[in-house]
Amino acid sequence: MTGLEFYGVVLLVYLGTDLLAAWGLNLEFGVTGVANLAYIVVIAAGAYTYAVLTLGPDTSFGGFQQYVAGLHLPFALAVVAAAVVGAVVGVVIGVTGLKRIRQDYQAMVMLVISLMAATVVGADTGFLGGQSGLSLIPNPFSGLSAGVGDWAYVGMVAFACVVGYLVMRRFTGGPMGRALRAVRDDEHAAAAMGVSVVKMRLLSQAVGGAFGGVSGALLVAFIGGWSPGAWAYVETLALLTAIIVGGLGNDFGVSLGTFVITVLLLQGVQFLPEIRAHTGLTEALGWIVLGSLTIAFLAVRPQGVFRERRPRYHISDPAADEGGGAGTAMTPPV
Amino acid sequence: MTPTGTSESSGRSSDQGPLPLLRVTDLVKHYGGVRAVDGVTFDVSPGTIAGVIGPNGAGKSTVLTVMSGFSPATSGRIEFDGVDITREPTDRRARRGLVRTFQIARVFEGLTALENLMVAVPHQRSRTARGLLLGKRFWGPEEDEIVAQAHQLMSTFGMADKANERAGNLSGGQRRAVEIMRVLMTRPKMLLVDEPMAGLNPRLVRQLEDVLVALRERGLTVLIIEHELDTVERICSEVLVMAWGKIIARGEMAELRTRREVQDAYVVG
Repeated sequence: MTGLEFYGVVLLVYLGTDLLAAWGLNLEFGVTGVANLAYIVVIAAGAYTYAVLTLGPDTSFGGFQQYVAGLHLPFALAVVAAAVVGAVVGVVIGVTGLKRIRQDYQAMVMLVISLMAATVVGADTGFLGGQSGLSLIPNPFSGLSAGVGDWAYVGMVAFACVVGYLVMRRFTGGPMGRALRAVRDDEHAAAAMGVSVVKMRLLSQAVGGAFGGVSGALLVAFIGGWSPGAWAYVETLALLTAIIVGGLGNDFGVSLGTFVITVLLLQGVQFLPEIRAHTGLTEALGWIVLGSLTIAFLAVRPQGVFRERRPRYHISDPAADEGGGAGTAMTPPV
Repeated sequence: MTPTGTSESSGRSSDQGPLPLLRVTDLVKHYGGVRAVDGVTFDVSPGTIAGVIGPNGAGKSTVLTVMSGFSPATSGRIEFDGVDITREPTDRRARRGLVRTFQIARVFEGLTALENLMVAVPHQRSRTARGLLLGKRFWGPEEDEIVAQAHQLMSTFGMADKANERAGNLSGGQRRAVEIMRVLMTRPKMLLVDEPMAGLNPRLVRQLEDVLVALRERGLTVLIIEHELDTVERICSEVLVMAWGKIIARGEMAELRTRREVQDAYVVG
């Protein structure tokens, strides 16, 4: 496998795992209206879950790292566990952050949760490896030759994306998506109509969290290492930008936004020449553009490039449409 | 609307007429040191339109906010259809059939007008775990019925041509109509309507009055808070006057207009 081919594999795995994460966050933010700035925590929870359930005892590799569990479960079981843990962590974050406060305050609470989680995990070296993190996390295709195993992994991530998209459509489309959007648009009016706002939000947090958990597990099984440096709060902002640019609540738009932001932009800046006098400026440029895009879209086109589409229903019986016309006339429904 | 004590509180009818659908007993609501509602007690009989009037700051909207569950009562008791709902959340009260509208019509702006109506239907199969698992083949037929029902209602209100319009693009009058239709889709027993005529032109006011009367004739119970006293006189059988967080008078509107304490409340309050 050539270096370029491997780079393509890496980009595809990144894209696939980012797509799963972006769809999960879009369900929470774009569809349900919860500005979950702690979303990276569920991704991290999934990654750590996969790691501690597959690494085996912490003495396996000479005891240079410490972590809980010490299990060596099969890949599929560990990914399912990562989804469950992601869902649980998502609900816990939801319960903590979704008190009766305004959305902007909710976002602040979520951001603080994200910072606290990274600090706690980073400080406790006996828990999940602290700041050093965990490494040598097993890849399910490590027994195959390099080229075959890598492409097999891409195929598996692609399969996960197809399944994930179909599952996500159950929540973002149809009547369930309608109810979630009602909560997003006006939680008081939704409650007044009998929609349980708490239940809807926690459902969204659970499903979004499960997607984040799977995303984290698939990512960490490929890259083989995970530490607090990999899940800084700004990673959530990258996903949020992808959603805002692509189109809030629009699955297709979010997918395209994820490709543009996480692959074209954040990977593309790495090909820019380094400015000698300002080391790191080139990489920072990606985040500068990302932040500027967010501000620009929120100011000029808050619905994103692809506006959320709503289904059009047509009357099967033309006679039922006789009342149409002025549009403001109200006559008694007798 | 009757003072508490004139109707029986059990689930059976009495010799004095139908049992109250809504019974509010000694309701108190404090905001810090402010007693916004100070010991309010009243009943609303089924199939009637009851009005609540009073000067600004009288506590009318606060009573409605507490009754609908948006704000907890400091003390007192609210019974609906024979059940104590004082501590129930808003959505559970709505599913019991006690549904409110808002002073400024609130619509789900990202949804179409038709979807605004569809989302209000209670107990939809699509919102169950089985519905999510089995998909459209499980909830499709029910969804078709909901679409037909919503279309029918929009046609009746003369808004069929706006069915697929985003609610955020509708005018104020159209939003008010969508809100009323959406409430009707919840299959309510009682409507709590907060100043529905605000911002509507006289033609729409009369049309909305006709709607409310027609709903009453179909057996729906309505409690309306309204500043337009002419509207209250035309459609309400009984009226409750509030001032300084208390009920200061009750009766028919024509008679209340002549009462000194009511006139004083409007002048002073």
